[in-house]
Amino acid sequence: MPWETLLLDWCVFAVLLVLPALIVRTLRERKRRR
Amino acid sequence: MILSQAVGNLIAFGVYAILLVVLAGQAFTWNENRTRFYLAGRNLGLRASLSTFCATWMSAASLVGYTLWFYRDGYVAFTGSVNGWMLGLLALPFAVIRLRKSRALSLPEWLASEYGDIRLRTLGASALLLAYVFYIVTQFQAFGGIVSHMLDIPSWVASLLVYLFVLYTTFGGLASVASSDEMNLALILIGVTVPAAYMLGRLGNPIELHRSFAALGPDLMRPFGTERPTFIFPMMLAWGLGVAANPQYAIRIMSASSRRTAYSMLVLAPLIVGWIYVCLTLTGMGGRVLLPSLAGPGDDAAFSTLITAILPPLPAMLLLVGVLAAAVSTANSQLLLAACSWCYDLPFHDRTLHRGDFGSEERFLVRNRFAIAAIASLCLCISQLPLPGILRLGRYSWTVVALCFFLPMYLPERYRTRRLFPAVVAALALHHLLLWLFPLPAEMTMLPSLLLELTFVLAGPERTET
Repeated sequence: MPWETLLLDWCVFAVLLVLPALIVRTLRERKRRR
Repeated sequence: MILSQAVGNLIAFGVYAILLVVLAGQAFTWNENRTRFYLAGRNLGLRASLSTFCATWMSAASLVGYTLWFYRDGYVAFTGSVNGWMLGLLALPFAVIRLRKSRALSLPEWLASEYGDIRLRTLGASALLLAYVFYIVTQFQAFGGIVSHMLDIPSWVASLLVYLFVLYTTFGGLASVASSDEMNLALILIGVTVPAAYMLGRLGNPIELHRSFAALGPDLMRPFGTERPTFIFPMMLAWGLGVAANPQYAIRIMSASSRRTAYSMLVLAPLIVGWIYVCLTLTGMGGRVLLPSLAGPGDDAAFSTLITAILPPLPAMLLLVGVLAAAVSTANSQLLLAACSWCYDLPFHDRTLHRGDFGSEERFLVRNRFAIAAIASLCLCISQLPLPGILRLGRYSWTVVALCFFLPMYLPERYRTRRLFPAVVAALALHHLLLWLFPLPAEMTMLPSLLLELTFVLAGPERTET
């Protein structure tokens, strides 16, 4: 598999799977600190 | 198609119909009001919220469209479609607090109350009604086209089948839609997983499958295929913004039983949606390896040819039922929102008419059900007309919705006092001017229009309170 496919497709896809969880955790922590 | 397979498909549709009647019927209640009808009483638990979010996400058009795009052009479909759509999920958590703070029952109502301008409600509701009508038409067309080829029945009979399912589930409001979506999501998951597992069983592990796929042409493995990155990146961004501004996801945030439920739904949804895309990718890839060339008059015919040629009867039937579930789950959610716009947001006189009074509430809901039947019937009729540009029209109306809702949903709190209506009107005017002047797709002209909207809001005056 070409490296750009690995990076732009599968790595971005993996990031998109977990990033919402990180965003939600950050938002909830910020809310709790307030 | 052999007769036994056609009979099997018909039996599968029959079982689906019975399950749908039972599941959606359980959600019908006698003491209904508009909060229960539009937002399921703001009481959807995590399972129901997650199911209805993911099932609504996967439409028949995207199941068929993505698989065929991957089959034909390879990884460019993954870059543009999968990563583009999922980009929108990153924005949605930022809208949770502001959407749930409000007591509004619809997104146009939220928009008007948040920015203190009733014209925004009319504009937003009109855009939403237009977009969803075209989108429901494409759901009817996609499923009608596939089933008519697979069962050798007229396309209108297959579309009528979806129409009846959609009508029945929407009559019960969001609770009934969400209840049926639990089954729909399960069927979509089974429908995409079994064909993908079959592909792996037949063609080897994912690495071997990739090797066979790459041997068919180097462009298939490139993330931009034969397109330029300057075309694909804006397209991805526009689709992501469209998802983030889509009222059907905003409504699922508003209808969740708590803020925690809404957040959990947004955390888990990418995993389920991602799984579905991975399965469709494997099916599209395996399909190309098994059947390197595919001829068909349109996408629907090509898809039915593909699945009957590459899959044994059982996985093909499961995928077909998955497409039916995807069509029903997306169309009923959109139909409910379209009826809400028509009956609740668009009437010009006394929009909060008789709120709380049981008798008038009943009449209001009956009016909603008439609207649902009327809009669905209109969509069914349009879906039978020979309109080759309907998909493009659907995508265009989608960008109009994004221009109406994206910035208002995500603008920081301190800009809430700005005048939004002139900004939205200016953005819509530029969008249409660019579309008229240049042969560009609507997703492309949406981005500069959105930028203009942002400039207007930031540089514009504060609104005067009335």
